[in-house]
Formats: sequence, structure tokens, C-alpha cells
Amino acid sequence: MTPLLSAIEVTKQYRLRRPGWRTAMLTAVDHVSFDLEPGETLGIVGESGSGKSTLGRCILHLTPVTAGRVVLEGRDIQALSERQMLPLRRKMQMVFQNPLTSFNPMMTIGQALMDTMRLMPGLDDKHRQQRVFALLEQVQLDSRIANLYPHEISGGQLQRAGIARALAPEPAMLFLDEPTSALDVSIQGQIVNLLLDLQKDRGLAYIFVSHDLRVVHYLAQHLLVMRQGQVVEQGAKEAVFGAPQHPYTQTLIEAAHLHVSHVSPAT
Amino acid sequence: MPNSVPLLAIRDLRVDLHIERDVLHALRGVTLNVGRGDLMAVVGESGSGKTMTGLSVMRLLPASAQITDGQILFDGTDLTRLQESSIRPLRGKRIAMIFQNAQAALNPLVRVGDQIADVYTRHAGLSRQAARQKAVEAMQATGIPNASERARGYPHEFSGGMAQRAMIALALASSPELLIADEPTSGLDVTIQGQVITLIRDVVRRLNTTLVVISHDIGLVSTICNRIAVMYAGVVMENGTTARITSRPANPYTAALLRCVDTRPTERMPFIPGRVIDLRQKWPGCPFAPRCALAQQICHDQAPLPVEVEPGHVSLCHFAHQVFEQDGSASYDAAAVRN
Amino acid sequence: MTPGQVSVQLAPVLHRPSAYQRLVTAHGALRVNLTLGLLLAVIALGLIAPLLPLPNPIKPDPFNSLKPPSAEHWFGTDPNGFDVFSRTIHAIRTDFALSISSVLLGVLIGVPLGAISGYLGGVIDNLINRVSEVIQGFPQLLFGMAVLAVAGNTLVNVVLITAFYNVPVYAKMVRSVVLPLRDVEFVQAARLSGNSPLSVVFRHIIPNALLPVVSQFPLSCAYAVQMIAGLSFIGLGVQIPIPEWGAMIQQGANYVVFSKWWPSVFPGLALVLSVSLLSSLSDQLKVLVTRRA
Repeated sequence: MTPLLSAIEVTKQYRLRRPGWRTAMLTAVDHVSFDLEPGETLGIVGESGSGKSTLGRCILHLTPVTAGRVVLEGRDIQALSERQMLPLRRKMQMVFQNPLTSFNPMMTIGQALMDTMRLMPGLDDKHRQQRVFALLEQVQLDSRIANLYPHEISGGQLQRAGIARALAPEPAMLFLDEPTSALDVSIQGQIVNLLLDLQKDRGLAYIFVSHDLRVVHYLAQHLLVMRQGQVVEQGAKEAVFGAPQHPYTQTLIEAAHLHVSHVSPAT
Repeated sequence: MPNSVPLLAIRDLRVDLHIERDVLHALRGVTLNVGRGDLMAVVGESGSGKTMTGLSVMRLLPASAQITDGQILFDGTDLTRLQESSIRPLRGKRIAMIFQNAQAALNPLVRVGDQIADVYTRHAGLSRQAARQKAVEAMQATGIPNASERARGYPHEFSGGMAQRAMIALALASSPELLIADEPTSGLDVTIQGQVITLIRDVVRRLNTTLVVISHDIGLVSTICNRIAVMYAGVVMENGTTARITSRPANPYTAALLRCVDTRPTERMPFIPGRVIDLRQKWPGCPFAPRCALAQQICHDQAPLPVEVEPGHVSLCHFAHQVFEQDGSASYDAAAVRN
Repeated sequence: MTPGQVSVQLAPVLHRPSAYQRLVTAHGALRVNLTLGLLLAVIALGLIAPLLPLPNPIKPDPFNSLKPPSAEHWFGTDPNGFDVFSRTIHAIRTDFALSISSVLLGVLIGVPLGAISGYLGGVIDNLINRVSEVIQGFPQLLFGMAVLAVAGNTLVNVVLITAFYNVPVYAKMVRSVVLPLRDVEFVQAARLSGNSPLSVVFRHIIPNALLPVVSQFPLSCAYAVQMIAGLSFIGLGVQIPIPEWGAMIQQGANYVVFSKWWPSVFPGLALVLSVSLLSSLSDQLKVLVTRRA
């Protein structure tokens, strides 16, 4: 099966200013490669500074790569212009970490959802509104939320709205950047289970970034462990959790109090 | 056997927070005892009031907050009755506090070593020279490598974990009787969190300081604390030893929370449905009732009273005994698996 | 709760406080009402001035010149025989119209410039920044005088020169608000939703940068009124017989020494009052800039 998305030796470097006229290069993402199959979840695990968010921006064409290729449904997209990228945008959407800053404070939730539907030309306003309500229902939000502003609803509800927004153009994949990290532990499950259901119903592929191994465990089939821009370990979830090779992976697993023997064979 | 008179006794503390025109009832009757030598964890999620409780003890509440009722007895003295001028000698000397963002707690314009030395000159009356020496020792004790060099550095030159250690050194420089740590490891890398929390335990043990750790991470604090108080929507739902609370909870909220952090795999990720009540409203019954799988009519109508299910283990629930008998987990399989 | 149905409760939105309510909460009803009330009264007075039974402000009456305040002429008459009270009131229109229009023009140019400069960065940003700094480096009044001397002493030019000085002020303000907004998640979401860069700037960024602009606007008007009055005082800008406070002060200036204070003092007081009200309003509006999350 051709992968939905492939990253091939993706590298992103930033130039840093140093005192005097010297410059230094910061390598935020260092030759990262992976394949994402349709309907599957790739978990990217790493802590702050690991480059996982930068990787996301590279993949989603929000920032240009320094080197490497990003292949979406067989087509190289890293060198496309913004205009050329536009028709492809609806295939890839993102869910952000901080629900409060991921919504424009001056727009209601309904307006924000309508904004994403610009990627679906040919829909008139009435149909867009219907879709807004349908989307809210799918993420189990009361339709009255469409008239509320971001600061008027809770973090968990906002995060669901963020998922609804990402689903608006009917994408093939979602990039989820720490979507549960800003939420209470007792609420995280609501979002994770919702994501599981949506994946089953719609065949969505996910790239799920998190430092929380417990959460990644529920969703991912494959894992990528990143540290300071580099992939230190990669493989099927059971393999990485069950027999971590790299010491950093081992430290992460210990820190998350995960016990090897408890990896469930069924998933 | 620690002294039976608690070092810190909070009795029915009520705090209101004024935000523009709304009044948030942030603390609705918090009762908590911390004995000398205890390593107490105050655990809760958003809206639980755990941070407010810590700030109340230090009398560091924002101007928009007001203590409307209750007492905070520190070594017998009611802190709520004291004037600011009487509190100041306590703060920093007998009761110290460390916060989540270490960088924000340190003065960016003063060298780290000097900030710590300041405490020694002020509270212990040492000379500059001696204080500086003590400061370096304190930094060494918190595991900062090359302490004498680092002491000359500024806060922005410290990494997150280092700055946290420096803050711990700073807080403990005056050998306080009580240390309140508000989310001391949040924001730190997962791999560092364990180190910092154990460091806190080791240092307070060595100085015989009583510790209160405020955290949302019950798993983390249970590695070092001997007692846990679980807070929800401004009240203490359950209070007891770590061992008993984690193995035999007597409160539905505690049981549900433990299920959420359990690392044993399940088909779907456990959670608690719904969300915290609106703190602007006063509820006649139990604040957890709207989300509780065991809730009956009485839970919505009447506020529960604290029930001692076994010595030293108190739960705020109409059905505390039943939850305790059922060992918590059985009744929660149903709730957890439900979507 | 039945299985499969997640109860997601909506917070009862007790109220969305209006801007006015937030002002009152922050500053107290007295201060807010006093400022707003007086300012609106002044503006209203200016608007209805032609309808009021006032002596003709531009009809000179040399036989009546320099009469002290009386029942007939509340503020007395000026050297040309104009009724000072009438002119002071009519001048409200002149001063406010000129200042508001020039600040508005400055805002309309400065805000998009600042937003584009902040969002796009690079060469454009550098260029706009340097030009702004140059403009702000010039002494305003002198430069105004020079331009008016060269380009002609018309009202339009007065508005343009005052607007000119407001462009960098607002460009800088908006730029500083826009810079951190570039990386904020909802802007990335807007890009992912297929918004072109221009669309991102105008639909998402500028609306979020407007609050400080609104708060600053009355203050800029206060400065503009002073600049216009200043220019008129030195004989540029507004000419006789159009009533304008600065010009009026100038006309009466020579007579103050002869203890004929009323032609200068009354317009002076009006100027001071207007400038104070505008600054006070601007100060009060600052509290609206920080949105309650």
C-alpha cells in the first residue's frame, strides 16, 4: 500500500545570530524519515526541544524544509508554492496543543469552523452552516457552542472544537500536536476515545505527537522517538515499548512508569 | 511518632475570588491537617483549589481574593487573623514556598548565588563571606554541579531543572519548618521530574522540614509522599496515607482519578465524563455529584460530611463506607468503559 | 447519563460584560461617566452649534471689539468684534473634525502598514521601520511649518501633515502586537485553512491588533488638536475667519498684557478641557486591551 504521507530525510535548520558577525546553525530537525499509512497512527514521542513541533510545521508546509522531501499521496510537496499547495491543504489538518490560543479570540466557534471550510469551494452558506452543526455533533458538542467565543467554553470543549475544525475539510490525515497535554488527566480520555472512534469511522490517519507515553500507547501503531531533532528509535509500538533499544527511550518509559509486561498484545 | 498537634491545621477555609463582576467560590470549606515531619501531597485538577490553598497559607492571595471564613493554624497561631506585618517574619523564614516557574521566582538581575546568600545574611545574620559560602553549599546539596561557578551566574543561564534546584536551595536556606511546593515539577522534562521530586524529599528530610506538595500528578507525588489529600471543586474529598488511598480509595472521585492514571492497558482510555461544576455557583450537594456514577438524590441535595472509614483515612462522601468496602475498582469498571 | 452519550455541560454564560461595563468596573462609574459624558457633551455641542441661537461667529463687528464678558456676550468679544463664546463653541467643530480626520487617516494607513510589516518581516519590515523612525525623528511643528510653507497653507494640508505623524505611531504599535501573533496557533490554523497571507493579515491578525489602536486613538486626537492649534497659533493652518482655538488664542495674545484676557483664555480653557478629556478617555480604555480569558 502506498503510504499516505512520507517524510524522507527531512531536515530543518535555523540560522542563529551570534555576537560579532558569526552565525551558528541550529538543527531543529535532523534527517527524519517515516511513512504514514492510511488509517494508521504514527506516534512521535519526545520532550521539549526534540523538534517534534518543527517537524509538524515542515510536513504541513507551514515552514520550508532545509533539505529532504515530504511526499503526500505520491507527490512531492516540499517545494510547492503556497498557491500550488492550496488544493492539497484539505488533506492535512492540524490539532494544536493549547486550545485557547488555537482559536481566534475574536471569532465564535461557528465562525472558526466556517473559516476552515474555505477549502471546500462550491458549498453555499447554508450547507456550510449545516456542516458546522454536523461537525459539532460528531465531536459531541452542543450545537449552541457555535455562538460562543473561545474564552467562554472549557479547555476540553475547545479541544473538541479544534478537532471539529480540523475535520471540516474532510482531511485524510490529522497532525495532532500534544492535543491532550493541556487538559486534566480525567478529561484526556474523552479526547483520546473520540479520536479512536473518528479514526475507525472515517479511516483517518494520525500523526500523534506527545511526551506522554501513556496517551500515545492508546492510539499509535508505530512510534518515532525523537531527541534534539534526531530520531533515536523507530518501530512498531510493541517493539519499542517491549524492547527499547536506545537508552533515552528506556529513560522515557521508566519515567512514565510503564511496565513492559503490561503492553497489551491485542492492540 | 510525630507530634500529635499538627504543624498546619486548615479548618473549613473558604475563599472567594472576584473576577470582574463574577464571584468564584474557589475554596468551599477546606479542612486539612499536616503533622510535623509529614510529606503531604495535595492533589487535584483544574478548579480544585489546590493552589489557592497553598497561597492562602502563605497569605499570598491576589488582591481579588478574599478569605471569607475558616482558620489556618500554623503552630497554633491563626494566620488568617494576622496583619501583613506579622506574617512577613513568618514568610520565607518559617514557611517557605516554591513555585512552578523557577525562572519567574528568581530575580533576573541578581546573581543566583547572591540571591541565596541574601537569605543567610537576613535570617541567619551571617557575614557576606560566610553567607556566600553557605549559598554554594546549599546549591551543592541540591545537586547543582560546579556550584561555586554557577553561583556567579544569572537565572537565565540556568536550564529549567537547574533553576528549579536553585529555587529549592533558596527556599530551604532559612531552614523553614514548612515548605509548600506548588507544582514544582510541571513544565520540566519528564526525565527530570523524578529527579527533582526525589531531591525535594531528600532535602526536606535532612532538614526536618515538613513538606506540602501541590500537584495534579498523583502518580508522581505518591512516590515521595506519605499522605495524600485529594481536592475537587474547592473541598477535600479524601485524606489519608498514600498507601491506603492508592490501594483502597473511599471516595468515588479518587477512585475515578486513580483509574485515569492507571498505566495498565485497557481497551479505551478511562476518563471522567462531564466537567467540573461552575465555581461561580453554590451547590447544595456534593460537587462531584453531576459526574459521579454512584450519585443518588441525596448527593445532589445535601452536602456530604467527612466520614472516617478507618483511622487516619477520611472521605467526604455519603457512601464512603460502601466505596471503601467495594475496594473502589469494581464499581468503576463500568464507568471507565462507558464512552 | 446513558452509555454513548457524553454529557458536555455548557457553562451558563451569566453575562458578557459590555465594554462600558468593564470600564466602570475598572475605573468606577463616576470617572467613566464624567469623562464620557463631558466628551459627548462637547462633541454634541459642536455638532449642533450652527443650530444654536448664537451670534454669527464669522461676522466681524469692529464697533464691538474687545468688549468684556457681559450678559450679551458671555465670553466677551475679540479684537475683530467676534463673539468669543460663539466662536469657542463653533471651534469645537473645527478642532475635532480636523484632528479626528487626520488621526483616522493616519490609522487607516498605519495599521495595515504595521500589520504587513510585522507579518511579512524581511526587507519590507526593515524599510517600513527605518522610514517610520525617520518620520518620528523630525520635530513635528517645525516640519509642519516647512511643509505648509512649501505646499500651501490649506486645511487639507494641515490634515495631511498631522496624519503623516500618526502613521508611524500606529504602524509601530500594530507591528509590535502582530509579531508575536505570527506564531500563535490560530494563525497557523488560518493558514492551514487556506487563507492567503493577505487574508490572514486582514481577517485574523488585524482584528486582534485593534484593541490597542482603539485605546490609543483618543490620545492621538488630543495630540492632533494640540498640533493643529499650535500651527494656527503661529499663523499657519486655519485662517481667519474660521473659528479655531489656536487661532483664537493667537488673536487675543497681544491683548492679554492689556488685561483683556477673555479672547485668549476662554479658547485656551476649551483646548485644555478637550485635551484632558481625550487623554483621560485613552487612559481608561487601556483596561480593555487585556482581554479576559
